[in-house]
Amino acid sequence: MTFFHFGNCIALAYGPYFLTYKYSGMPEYGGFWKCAQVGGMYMLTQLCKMLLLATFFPTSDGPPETASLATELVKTTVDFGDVMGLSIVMGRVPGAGHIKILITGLGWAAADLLLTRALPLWVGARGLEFDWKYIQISLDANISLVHHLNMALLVWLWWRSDLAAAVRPIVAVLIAGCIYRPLLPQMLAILLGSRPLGFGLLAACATPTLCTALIACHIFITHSASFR
Amino acid sequence: MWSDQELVEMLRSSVPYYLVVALPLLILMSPVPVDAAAEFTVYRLQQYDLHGSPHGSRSSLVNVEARSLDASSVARRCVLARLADLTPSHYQRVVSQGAAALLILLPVNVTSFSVDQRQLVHDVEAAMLEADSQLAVYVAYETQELLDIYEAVRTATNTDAVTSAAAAMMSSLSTDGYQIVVGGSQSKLMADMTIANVQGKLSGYGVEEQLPTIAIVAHYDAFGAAPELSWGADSNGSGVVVLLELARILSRLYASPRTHPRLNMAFLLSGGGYINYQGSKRYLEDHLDASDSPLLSETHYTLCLDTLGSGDSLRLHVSKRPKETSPGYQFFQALQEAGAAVGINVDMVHRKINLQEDTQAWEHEKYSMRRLPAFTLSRLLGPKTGERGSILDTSENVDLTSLTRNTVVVATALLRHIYNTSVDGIFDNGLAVTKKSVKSWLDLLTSQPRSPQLLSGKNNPLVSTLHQILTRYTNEARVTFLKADKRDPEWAFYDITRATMAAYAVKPAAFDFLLTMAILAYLGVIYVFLQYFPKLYAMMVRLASPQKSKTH
Repeated sequence: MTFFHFGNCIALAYGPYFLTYKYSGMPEYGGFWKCAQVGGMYMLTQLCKMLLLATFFPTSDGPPETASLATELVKTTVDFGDVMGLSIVMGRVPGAGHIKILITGLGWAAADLLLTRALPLWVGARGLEFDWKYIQISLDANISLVHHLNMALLVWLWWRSDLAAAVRPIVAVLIAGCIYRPLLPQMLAILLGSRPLGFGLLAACATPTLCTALIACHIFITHSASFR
Repeated sequence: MWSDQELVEMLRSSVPYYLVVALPLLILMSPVPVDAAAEFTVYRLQQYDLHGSPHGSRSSLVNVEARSLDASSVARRCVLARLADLTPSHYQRVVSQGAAALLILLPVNVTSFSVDQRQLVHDVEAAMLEADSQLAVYVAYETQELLDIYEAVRTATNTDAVTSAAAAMMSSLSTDGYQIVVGGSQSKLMADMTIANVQGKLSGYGVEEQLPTIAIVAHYDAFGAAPELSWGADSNGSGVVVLLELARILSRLYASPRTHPRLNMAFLLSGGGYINYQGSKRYLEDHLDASDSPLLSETHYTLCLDTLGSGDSLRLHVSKRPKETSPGYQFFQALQEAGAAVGINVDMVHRKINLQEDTQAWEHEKYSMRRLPAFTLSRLLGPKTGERGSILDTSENVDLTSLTRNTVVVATALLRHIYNTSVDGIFDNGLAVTKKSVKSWLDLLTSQPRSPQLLSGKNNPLVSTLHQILTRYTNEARVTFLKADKRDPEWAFYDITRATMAAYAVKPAAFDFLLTMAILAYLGVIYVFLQYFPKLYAMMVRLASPQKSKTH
């Protein structure tokens, strides 16, 4: 539509990231540079993942909708690389538990946002044509912020040796759930008979993410409370 | 070595300044992406000058929002209208309100129009071509995509009448507006445009210069509101079909010594029939003013064929009633006899040439003005019924049976006049006028739109084909090209007859403000959430482990 519309989309996509950075106490820890480093690690991880995918899963010729769920499942398994990348980053970022999680999660999410969503917005939202798609991309960026913070938290919990043995399987299941999240639309398509679109899909993605976030928070709180 | 902190500080101090320079550069340099909701081919209204006065649409560029015909104001908007809904008064209103463009949706099947609707379309076409207007007028075929846009625009237009601004904003959430864009360059005068005359003749038995001549003339060009939609099947494809059939039959008769008449035949497929018969005008100049060509100096009559594709009666339009002893009157009688044999009524319609007017109504008037006996044979009552030169004149508009029968009547009458005897038995052994041959001529002529500007050029395929046909049937067939005078052109055409139109779904500016408000509110909620996060966190801790918080 107009440049104004592009501004709107950018504000909606990047605003929460900025607010999270500004008001979660990160600037006091010199978090900006750390976040940038985490972003660099994110890129490296994605590169490795892409190399893996390109080597073992050559692109199929058909449209993406025709790919079977099983193939997609195997492909998404490569995303465990994210967990490894996060683990490595987590080991190198100094600081107390929650700051570590915030910096890693935010850096990871910001790099993801810059690399996957900035270009579609720049190309699409400035065009003459109006489409709700760009508002949806921006909202999806917000969900993905929660998702990445969530991942960082879960990975951090996983590497705690003092984590209660009872919750460890729960954490493992939640990590797996987070990783296989991109398959959600396809699963829904199989379950509901039709692929949800637009705002329906957004809601469908947001609900499990928020639920996981609540559970992960609860585990974190119980875990840190046990050390008071 | 720099520490991390120093690097961050440096980045912090310099990055904003780089951004100030880089962002505007980026914005300026990257083109605005173009992927439209819908793109379709549109056909532009005629734009031409005749005798110095401009006609049709003067503009070809569009970049405005769409409105429907019933919108309260259409100033600087593109009006979308279906052809069936449009009336001349609508068109006048659109022009007078200062609309930027008009897009007319043409049904794919125009034969479904009733007689009244057809008359209305003819009136609209006449109103659009009568004078010039500054708005860009395009015609497009109705597709489902285009109809959806049309419906959306109509409902959006109805919400214009909503009283409060809030209601308008809310309605803008659900409905789409459309920005209509036709890019490219403004239409330009076509320099070096040519109009071709295709002519041929059959020489009679004896000394050619001493024999009288019968000239048969039909203009082969077509006209209509949009050049690319000017199929002209009836007007004047049917006239050309009759001429080609006559040429075919006569070529056989002239080839045999037994039936070689003492009479020359001249055939002319004239161009520019809708711009005051420029082809005939040039033909007359060539053959009368230049003394070396005596072909027309001694003519029995000139028979112009115009619009013969349907109907049950024919009219012989004359400017001056022929004397009862003249060959013209004999031909008329022969026509009446031949018509009566197959149940067709042939009348003579007399209309004086109006010398006050710049343009001649019928082609024969060009010849009558040069004192040559001439008449036009047509199914029409008069020249200005609107049926000549309409975009509705597609090949479905021609009734092949009627056209075949009319061809037989003309051929019979002509032969009866030439041989001065009954010719009942002559139409056999390959001379018969068949529906098949008539259809093949008509298919050839309606295979492409034939507006004059589309037939320009030395190597136009249609003109070449017509030339080849006349070469086969007549002697000395040739094509002559005429151009408008450079300094004081009698006629001129403009280019861009078709374009690609894009329709972009857009929202009004009010919608963007609404969106900004919503986003600000959303960010505010997040801000409040983050500000109260420590408190929330403490609350969650208490909820999660009440027994443990008690122990500490």
